[in-house]
Amino acid sequence: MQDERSREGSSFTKAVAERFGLLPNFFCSAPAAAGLIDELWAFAKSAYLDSPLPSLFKERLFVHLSRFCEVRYCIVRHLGFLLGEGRPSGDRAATPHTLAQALALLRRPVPDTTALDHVLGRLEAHAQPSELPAPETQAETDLFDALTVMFLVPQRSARARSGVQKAVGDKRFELLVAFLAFVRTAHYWTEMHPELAYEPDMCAVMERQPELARLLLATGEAETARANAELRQTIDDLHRAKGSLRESDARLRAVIAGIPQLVWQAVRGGEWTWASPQWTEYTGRLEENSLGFGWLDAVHPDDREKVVLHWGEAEHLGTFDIAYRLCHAADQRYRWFRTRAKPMRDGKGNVVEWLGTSTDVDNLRQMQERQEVLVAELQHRTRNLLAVVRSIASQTIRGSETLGDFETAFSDRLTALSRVQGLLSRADGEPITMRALLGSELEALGAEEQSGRIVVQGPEVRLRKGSVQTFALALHELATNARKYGALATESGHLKVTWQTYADETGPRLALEWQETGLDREQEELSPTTKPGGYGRELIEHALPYALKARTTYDLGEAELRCTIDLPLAESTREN
Amino acid sequence: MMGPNSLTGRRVLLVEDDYFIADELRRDLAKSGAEVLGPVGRVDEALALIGRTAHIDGAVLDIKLHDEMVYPVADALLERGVPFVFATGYDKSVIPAPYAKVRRCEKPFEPEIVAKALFG
Repeated sequence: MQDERSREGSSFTKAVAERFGLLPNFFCSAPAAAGLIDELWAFAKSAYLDSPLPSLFKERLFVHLSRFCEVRYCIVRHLGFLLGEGRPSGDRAATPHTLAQALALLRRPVPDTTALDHVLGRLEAHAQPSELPAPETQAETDLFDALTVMFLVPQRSARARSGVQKAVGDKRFELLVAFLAFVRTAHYWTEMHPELAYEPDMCAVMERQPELARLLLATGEAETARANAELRQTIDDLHRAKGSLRESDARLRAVIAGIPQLVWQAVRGGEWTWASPQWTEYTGRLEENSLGFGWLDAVHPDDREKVVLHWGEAEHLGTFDIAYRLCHAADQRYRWFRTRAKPMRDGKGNVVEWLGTSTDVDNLRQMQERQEVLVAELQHRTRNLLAVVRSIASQTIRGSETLGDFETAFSDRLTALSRVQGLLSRADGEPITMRALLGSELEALGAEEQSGRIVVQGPEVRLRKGSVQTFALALHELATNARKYGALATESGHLKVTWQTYADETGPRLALEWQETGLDREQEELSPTTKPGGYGRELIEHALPYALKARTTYDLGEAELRCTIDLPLAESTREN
Repeated sequence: MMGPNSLTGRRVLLVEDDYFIADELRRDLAKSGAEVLGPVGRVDEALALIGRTAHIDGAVLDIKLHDEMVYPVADALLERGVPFVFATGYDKSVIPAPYAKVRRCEKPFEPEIVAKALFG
């Protein structure tokens, strides 16, 4: 039995040494349990040496994972293979590493939570599985980190597993899983066999390379334990962070669904990753059709370029703030929105994502535009009014013999002008009627006291605004004249104002007749209104025809004054 | 006597919808020696007057004439190369781009300023 074992052992060790280029003590351990060693060898061949994964990838991964093993046999032996003491993964064709490459591998930092999150993100982003990466590439680092998670904390490695599977494909993933199982077995075996000694070749290497020895052995153990603890902590953190992120995401989104803005999340350059239900409701676009750059379809075609350019600058500016139009699905029209977004950053200041809102400012903009128009109109009216005041002043000067005359007449006319301004400003929503205009003039004279002598008669007629000012000033002249010199200044005079509407080839018109009877001709002739060339007659006989296309007459008889004013009711633009 | 900044002997078209303002401007311009064409208060009347007047040296235009804008009149004058000013209460920002460079005289204005703007 012993002989047989020894004979068999001899051919066994030959085979092992043949494969590695030397005989590792690992396969000489436990001589009392030769069957187990045979099984280990079979396992090593199938999962490690003969596995069709690239030899350097396997050996580097073996070394990397062995950093986390408290017994240092594996890391020392496999680093030896990598350096060409023996052969990397038992492969004669593999090019051994230089010392610098080996040191770099041993010094690779253990990723923190954020870095690990990025690593997994990159693996998950693989659209197509690819070959295993070349040594010393970012892709290899990513894969090593994910495999470390699978290796050390398999119960929490769901994300790492799916990431690796996505990155390398199913077949290579199975080979990797088998490889990890063998490394784990090897580590376990070495922990059960503390008597395993480093082979002489590695003792010599470590003697020559104290830095390498330090990394492999002295601080190595402590580092390993710490790194191990750190990595576990990292993975735990990541797990918790993801969980609470999912939770707070869900809470946040519930809040978001209740606010009036359209809310969305995006990653670099404006690629949307989420859109709130309000977005879908407003634009009529499903969330899945709006993700990526799908949301741009809802933007007004004229605004798209501006928006895309703005996104290009957003990361640099640290903010996104711009107004553009979005199509409202229900109305089939574009409305203005102000869109603002702020970047969410990780611990290192990198932008992880953008959280943005789009607020409907269409009504606000319309109001602002209306206000601008109103202010312009107000300016125009004010300046125009000053010009009117100036012309009334010079007309009144021409008709006045004394400063006292001027003062009375001027202030009287200004009062009338101010009254009609009041009427006009109140009428911004409602039309001014003939009766209202006449009423305001007669009322200002206190004419209601003599109401028995005044007849005012006519249908409800709306006056166009453009005609009101000049018309009111003319009526004022007539009314003032009646009160001071005409029918209302005598004992027995009567005033009758009637009007009607009719239409001729110029459109609808208003015909007003102002008739005073029982007046005193002598007194009337004193009136500045009646005097030819006086302000009142100028207004009636010239200003009304000039400004309002009116036809007017003014006739003074022995005991009677008759004035007619006939003017178009339609807007002049309609006449043209 | 026709100095460069003077209105003397100039034929000036006056377009203004308010009778009294028009009358005032007419008096002022006439006092300064101008021969006033118009005044007229409507776009169609102004275009008709321009059409039948062979010689016009300059024009003073109110921008808003009742419910219409004076721009067709401005276009007709631009076509004939007649200089003109806007006499208006409107602010510059309201004036459409093609006429942005036209001088504005705020009402009420002094004839000398109009003279300078037109012929200065």
